[in-house]
Amino acid sequence: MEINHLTTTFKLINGQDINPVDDLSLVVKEGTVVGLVGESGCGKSMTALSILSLVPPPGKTTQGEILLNGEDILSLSKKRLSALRGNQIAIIFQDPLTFLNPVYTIEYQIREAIKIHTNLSNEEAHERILEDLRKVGMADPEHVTKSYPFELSGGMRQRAMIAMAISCEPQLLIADEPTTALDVTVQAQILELLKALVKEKGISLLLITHDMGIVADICDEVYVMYAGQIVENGSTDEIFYHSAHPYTQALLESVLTIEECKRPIKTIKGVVPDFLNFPKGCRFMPRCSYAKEACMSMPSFYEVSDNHFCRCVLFDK
Amino acid sequence: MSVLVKINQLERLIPVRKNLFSRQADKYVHAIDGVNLEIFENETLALVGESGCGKSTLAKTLINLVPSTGGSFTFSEIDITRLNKRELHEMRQNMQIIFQDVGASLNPRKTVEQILMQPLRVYHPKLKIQKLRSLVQEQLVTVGLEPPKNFIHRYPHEFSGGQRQRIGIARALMLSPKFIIADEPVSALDVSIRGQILNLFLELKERYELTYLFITHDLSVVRSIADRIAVMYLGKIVEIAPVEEFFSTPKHPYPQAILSTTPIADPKLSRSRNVIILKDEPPSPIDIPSGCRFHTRCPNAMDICGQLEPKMVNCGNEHFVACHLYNEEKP
Repeated sequence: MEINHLTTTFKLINGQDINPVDDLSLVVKEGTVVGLVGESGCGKSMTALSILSLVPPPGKTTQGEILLNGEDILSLSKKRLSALRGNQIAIIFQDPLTFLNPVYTIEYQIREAIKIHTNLSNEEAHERILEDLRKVGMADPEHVTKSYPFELSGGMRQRAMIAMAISCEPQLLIADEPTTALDVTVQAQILELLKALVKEKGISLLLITHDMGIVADICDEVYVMYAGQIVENGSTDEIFYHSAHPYTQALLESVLTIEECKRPIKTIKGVVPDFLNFPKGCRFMPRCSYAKEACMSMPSFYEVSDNHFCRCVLFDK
Repeated sequence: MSVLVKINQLERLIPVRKNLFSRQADKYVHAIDGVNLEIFENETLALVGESGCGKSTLAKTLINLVPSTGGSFTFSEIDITRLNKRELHEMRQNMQIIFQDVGASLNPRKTVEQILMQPLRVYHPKLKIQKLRSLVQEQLVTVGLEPPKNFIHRYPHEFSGGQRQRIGIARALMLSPKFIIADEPVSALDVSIRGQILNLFLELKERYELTYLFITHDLSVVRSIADRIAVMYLGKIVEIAPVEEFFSTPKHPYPQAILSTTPIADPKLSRSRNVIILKDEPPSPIDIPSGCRFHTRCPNAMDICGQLEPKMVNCGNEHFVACHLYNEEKP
């Protein structure tokens, strides 16, 4: 998948436009895990919704293209789009309880997806569902199929949702904070499962998270997002060991670890800017310790090293 | 160091009734099930555990927001569970709580000034309004909301998450307490803001010689803020140790597992380390497993673990663990 210059705009009642996703370009190669990191309110989830054309009104994707196997998703007809969703691209949300329908059993909900995209009979679909549930590590799939979402624990629900997402063998899986609501021991189980899916099935994974630890654990490439824009991207090792953008550096410094005691804890001064009044020029400028005259105009992307790009004037050669 | 809070076999069982009309409960939720813990003066004790293990119930029981059903705890050698209403009221000045979701604990219809004045009005009704005002303003400066006149007339919804947490901290400090219980105070905050609030906690502790019971599920926060750590599993403490000791040599298999699965923001370390993946999820606190309650998920489980509940043993260096692996005198 390739996203070029994607912009999603919300028109407010007072006529003002805000762009939660602003000129975003991103590439997910086959069989890789790409991380999209940023703090809350930076536009990560809106990016995921934009990819699936699920942006809630009055939001609209106003610019850019999203190419999946060379086909632009944004120009597809509604019919073609719904054939694509669930079949080629699937999504896992943070909170399975709001995503799963409380009045239907797990089997009914997974079968719905299978019925839309394939022409399997009921028995074949049932077999497939059991197999999918087993694949995501459910000990007793027969029992789970008959359960309603509220009868399952948080980790089980998340597994059920992953089973639903992979039931039609998508090429691209988008996971929006899939483990944020879970305990670390269960989080580790889910991350292992996602890793295995990528490895065995060759699925590409776009993982949206705020946790640098998870990124370090499973991602091949990382995009760092700040205030609606990508500010830096590169391979995981490049981002962690040779981070270029002052925001990425500050973010990594302020991450706490179990390896050492950091006192006083490093922080980034100030707060994330509001979508309504972004600073002029570079959006990180008011919080940046390297800010200078040239930051008053919007920086473009500069190449730091091979496949490592950064939106900061410090790298303007 | 002297002991400030001593918790002795504290218990909170919540009855589960079969139906609406049955008088007798046949089962209990074991929210806290015999907790023994000592908190020393001027230390930060981190209480760690998975969701549903009883951490927050313990916090609420300690300030008597919910009653305990057994055991006792003392504060400065006074047994809180035996106090009458008036004595308890007096006692509460000394212990305050800060909640995870401050948004929900601040009254949306009151201004910051009114919120912060409330504790003073209850405990010092004779103070003049000018005095109250100046105390509130002073407090806002201490928690880093400067200049105070920009904040006092605003309502909680006008603040960001980090600022709201600062207001929650200011309110807890209004009566100059000795002991502060912080229940997941930074879990809802972003990384960059989280650090600011944690630094504030460290600073205030120095300045006012506070004692913290810091409840969290995040071990990386513990490493940077706490002096000692207690790990809880299904209503029981399984390991207590000084922080440095704990992170270098965790003893109980459960803390070992959560340590190995806490993400590290370092790709090379993260790839090379040994991850212990536990099977399943914590059992329900209604049907507690027999013997050691962790044995259903434990990678090192032995025969004895299903039969006998392990006792807390001292491993030296103030390191205590409740696990049969460290029990010398095998029965």
